[in-house]
Amino acid sequence: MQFTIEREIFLKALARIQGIVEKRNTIPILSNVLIEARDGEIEITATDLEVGMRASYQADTAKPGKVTVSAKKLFEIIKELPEGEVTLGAKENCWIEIRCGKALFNIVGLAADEFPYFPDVEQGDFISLPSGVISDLLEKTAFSMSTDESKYNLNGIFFQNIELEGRQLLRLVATDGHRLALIQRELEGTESEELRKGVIFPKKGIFELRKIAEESDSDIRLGFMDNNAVIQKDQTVIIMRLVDGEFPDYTRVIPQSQDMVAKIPREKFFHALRRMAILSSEKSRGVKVLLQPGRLEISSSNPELGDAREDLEIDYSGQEIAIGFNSRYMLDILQVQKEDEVILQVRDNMSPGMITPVEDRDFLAVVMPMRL
Amino acid sequence: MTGTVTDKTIIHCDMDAFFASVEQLDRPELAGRAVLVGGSRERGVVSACSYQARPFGVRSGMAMSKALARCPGAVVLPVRMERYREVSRQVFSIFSDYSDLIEPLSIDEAFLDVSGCLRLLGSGVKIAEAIRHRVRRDLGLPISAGVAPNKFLAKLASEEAKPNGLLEILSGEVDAFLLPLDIGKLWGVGRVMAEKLRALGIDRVSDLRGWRREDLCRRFGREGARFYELARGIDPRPVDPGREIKSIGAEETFSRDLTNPKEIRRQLLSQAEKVARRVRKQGLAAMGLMLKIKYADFSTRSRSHRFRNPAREAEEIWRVALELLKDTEVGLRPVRLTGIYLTDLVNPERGQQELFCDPMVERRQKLICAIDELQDRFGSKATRRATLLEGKGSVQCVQKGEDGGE
Repeated sequence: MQFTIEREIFLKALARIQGIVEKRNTIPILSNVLIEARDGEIEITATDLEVGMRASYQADTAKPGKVTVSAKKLFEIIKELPEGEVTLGAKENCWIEIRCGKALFNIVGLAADEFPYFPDVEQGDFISLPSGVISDLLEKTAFSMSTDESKYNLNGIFFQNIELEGRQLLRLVATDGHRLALIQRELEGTESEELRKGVIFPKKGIFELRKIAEESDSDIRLGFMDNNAVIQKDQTVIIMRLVDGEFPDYTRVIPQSQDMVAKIPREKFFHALRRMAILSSEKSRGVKVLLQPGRLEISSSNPELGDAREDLEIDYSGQEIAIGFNSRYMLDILQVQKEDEVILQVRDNMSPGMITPVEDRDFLAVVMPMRL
Repeated sequence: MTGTVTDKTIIHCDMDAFFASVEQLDRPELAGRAVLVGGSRERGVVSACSYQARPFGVRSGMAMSKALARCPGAVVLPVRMERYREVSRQVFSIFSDYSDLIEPLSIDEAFLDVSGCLRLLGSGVKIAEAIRHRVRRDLGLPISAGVAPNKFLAKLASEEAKPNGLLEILSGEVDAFLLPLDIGKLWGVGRVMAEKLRALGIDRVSDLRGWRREDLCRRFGREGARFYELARGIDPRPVDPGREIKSIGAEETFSRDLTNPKEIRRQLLSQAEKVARRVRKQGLAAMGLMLKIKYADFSTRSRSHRFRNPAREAEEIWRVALELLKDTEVGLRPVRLTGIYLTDLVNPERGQQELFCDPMVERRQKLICAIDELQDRFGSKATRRATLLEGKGSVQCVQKGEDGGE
């Protein structure tokens, strides 16, 4: 095998798969990248057996064939090479030669035949999704995913297709058991059997999906294949194993009607929270939110440091109530909102609070209080 | 709280050779004999020794074999923690008749601030005498007490009063009492620190008095300032009844070294049950866990874990302990002792609330509550896991250590 490629293109291609290769190095070949050359293009594949990515790039292919080498080392080498063309060639016993300008590298790889099988995904039913919408949906939910690996069914985002009041909606829900984010958007032609039931995309796959959604405007094609989600965009295919678990019944925890409703300027709320969070306890990050007619007070205290208080004018006419919240959860929500004002709804200091944009009824975030 | 030595009356009450005295009380034939409490003759450690054993040079903390070499006639008895705890509750209930400001230091020792009840109950000495009388009359046990203007001096006084005595240090007598004392008697001065001080020519408190505060601070930092004050009998610490429990632990030395991982896992389950129950009884839950392993050669290893959510259930504690066990040489090296300590104790009612209530979790909690209630009423053996039933050939623990770790 031998090919020549623009260093710039090759570097970008290798950068894209760095997040996918196995870092723990339990199975050596999973930290490698597979490079296959044929017919004027090279195909680059990486997988950790949960999430895999394959993408093709234009190259001058002198001799077809395939090799596999350490994804990290190859990336480091290409990154340091000068601009121009890079030539990569296979030699005997899995050795690879890289030439660029006057630099020459010989590195040893592994047998390409041992690289895990990457399914052919051309056939099957795909639905089309606009990249911009997907990127927005992911941004507004991903922060609520759980990082606790023992809660494997919460280590991802739940995708579901629902029909509501005559609207076809794609709904995304993420929760870590303390807070939840739900967003839905009207998307035509997104019906599929899997989405009707609902599927959980794994956290690592979500990161990759978000990246390619942000790369360009062309549509994302989504399909399903034996418990995997297949995502295709331009010359790239991502396959991810869906989380094999039951997503909790999130509808139960979304408050239906709450009498205490406050309209709050988002930017002011956000910055006040950030200031008050500085004196919240390191571990709990708890702040106290006090609602009074026309006024919101945020306060925090830390036995080792001191205390802080700030208030802002809001639109509220309900009764006085004080609730503890994890400031980080509130900040996460406010950060992904775009509108000038948000609605905060609460019932009491034991029930979940809900934050929504003033105008958008299809985006909501639920936060369970803290007892301070 | 001021540092002056005149405005408070503190009593330090300390039971004499507590475990051994309880054994002598329960078995009158042992009265007047040397009694060592602590487990097997070959492998245990002396947890307590009656005063009759002390002239032979026996001290608590000593290896049982060494103690027996010094005092071959001594009677060796196992630790009956449950019984001691029961007696301890009675002792503390007597204390509570004399003050609301009680700071427990351990199962058999407490500070009482009686400054507020002098008018009602008489002088510090009178109150201490009454407490000692009640403990002797109602429970039949010896107790010593020290009366002084602060905790540091009260504790020194009770030590001096032992056994079965009472000593008061009046404000005017502080120097006479304090100055001749060995430096090792100072609060917070352990073996290592005592050596450091002796190296500076400080053998007695009187030697320490010659040092300026700045010089002590320069050498010992914050400790130095404390030494300066202690040398003058100043101790501003208030009696703190709400003293937080920092850790709860259970450890056991086995009757023979264990090599079978299955047996060790079983012992850990039993320890997990104990600490889980105790942490629940305190209304607390743990954010941290430490596993302690002592191998046959006495080398000790510990491994710790942080919980994501407060833990108070035996299964969860056990699972984590087993996970930590993988990172030890258990199974390869014989094990003499294992222990589980719960740390970073928090109130589980506080903090972040859960969005989803898991019906299984709720059911398990109800079950645990029911078992706790059963054991409260009928004792810890009322219900037991089948795997923890003692059968033939099961390993007996020669010594149970517990730690309320204030």
